[in-house]
Amino acid sequence: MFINKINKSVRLWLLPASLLLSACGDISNDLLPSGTDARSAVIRDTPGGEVGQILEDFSLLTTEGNVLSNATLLAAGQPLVLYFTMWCPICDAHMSDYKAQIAPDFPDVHLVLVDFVSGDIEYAYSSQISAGYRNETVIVDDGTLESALYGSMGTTVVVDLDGVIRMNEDYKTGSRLRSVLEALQK
Amino acid sequence: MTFTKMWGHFLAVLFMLVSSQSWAASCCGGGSASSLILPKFSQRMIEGSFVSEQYDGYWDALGQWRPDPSGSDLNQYRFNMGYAHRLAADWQASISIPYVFNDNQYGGLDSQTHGLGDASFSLWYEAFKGPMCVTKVNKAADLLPAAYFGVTLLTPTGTSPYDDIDNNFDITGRGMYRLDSHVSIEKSVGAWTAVFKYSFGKYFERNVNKEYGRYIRPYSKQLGDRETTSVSLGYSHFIPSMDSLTYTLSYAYLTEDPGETAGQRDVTSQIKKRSKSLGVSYATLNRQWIYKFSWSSALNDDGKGKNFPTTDIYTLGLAYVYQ
Repeated sequence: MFINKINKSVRLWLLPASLLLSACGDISNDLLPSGTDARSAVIRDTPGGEVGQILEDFSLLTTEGNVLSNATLLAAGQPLVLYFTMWCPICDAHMSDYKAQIAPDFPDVHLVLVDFVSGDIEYAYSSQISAGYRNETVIVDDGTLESALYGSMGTTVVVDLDGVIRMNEDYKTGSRLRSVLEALQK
Repeated sequence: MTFTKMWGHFLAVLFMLVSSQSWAASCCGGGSASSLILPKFSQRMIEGSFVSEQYDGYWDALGQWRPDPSGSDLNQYRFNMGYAHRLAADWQASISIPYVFNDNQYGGLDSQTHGLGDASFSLWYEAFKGPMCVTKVNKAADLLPAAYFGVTLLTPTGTSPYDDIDNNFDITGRGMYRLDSHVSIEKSVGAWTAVFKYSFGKYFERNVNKEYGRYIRPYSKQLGDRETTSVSLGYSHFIPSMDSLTYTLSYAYLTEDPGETAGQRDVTSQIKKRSKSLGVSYATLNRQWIYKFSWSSALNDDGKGKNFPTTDIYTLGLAYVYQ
């Protein structure tokens, strides 16, 4: 009798639960996470946004109103680090970690923030100031870099002196960024 | 069962299933549902609530409060559907499913998205056999509180950064399973009720091979342990119809320790938040219908949080209790 009651209860819960899960097709990556490397093969040294590819030329305005291109940035003779920010708490946590843990060991590396959400200089400058990044170089992206580098919140890109992308992934703990920059220093 | 009742049950089930398509939150996630606790001796309860969460700045990594960019307008709205069921005299279970709407104006981006939030499943044990409220304290035993012990499994049914999403404003969930254990101690003396709640949550480690719809080099991720502590004080009084009104003041402190990403300690995932809230509830004489309204506000001063948005949360809820 008790078992029958439990079976009935389980069936009552299983039906909506299975319907619910089947309705969540686009979130199955969270319900059943995969560790499989599903990345497509990349043709190295061709223009593109993946690691091993060559960053395509860009020319964009900064919040100071200057025009910056990849050629200008790499002319300084140091690797370039691009960080995609939307001025949120996570972005600030990443940048604070970079300033405290990584920047002191790579003083000549040029960090450029890419504001990919503001859309105009005035708004981006306002965001930059209120977030406390007055002294950083900020590119106001018009979608060019976001599209070319698959940029999203926290995306960190390292470009070497030949314009080859050496890293393009979320900042995470910063350890990957450090190891890429160390490798470039050698 | 009458046709009307059948149709009502069908609509209720349908609404819960459709809710599972729901949506989402701000760039920093969200969308979790609050827990439900069934009153002692009651058999079932259905609760629906509408939550409006308005973003107003954030605490940075050093705990300094910073405003959002001028002109930005970040909002999240959630419909929560909950059902609690008594399993035995001292045991109850509940399910809560949020459906989330994100409405964000941010610079050149105007984004409206929606989807299912993170659903939660709870099991509670009541460590008391009868009413623990007293009109006044006459003896030591009158001080004994009502204690609840529970566990909640948060499931990643929402949309996270690890799904196929277009931008950060599509996010409605954390993308992680989490098991919370709870203790809730309540004591009512006369018109006054004091409540202490503590929850400890442990995230399950998961693999990540996709971020924002793009396949990436796989890595493992585990968010840090989550603790929530709250204290509240409530005052109830009866109106002439013998329905009751209860006013509650609360203070809550939420923390999440640094997590682990690809085997490395991830200090950037650490969060802290302090908030206060004010609630009013109205219960009918037979305690079958309960109307609730609350306002919760983050303490947006320096040092009152870390790595977390400050928000005002308005909740309007309605519960029906089957005795």
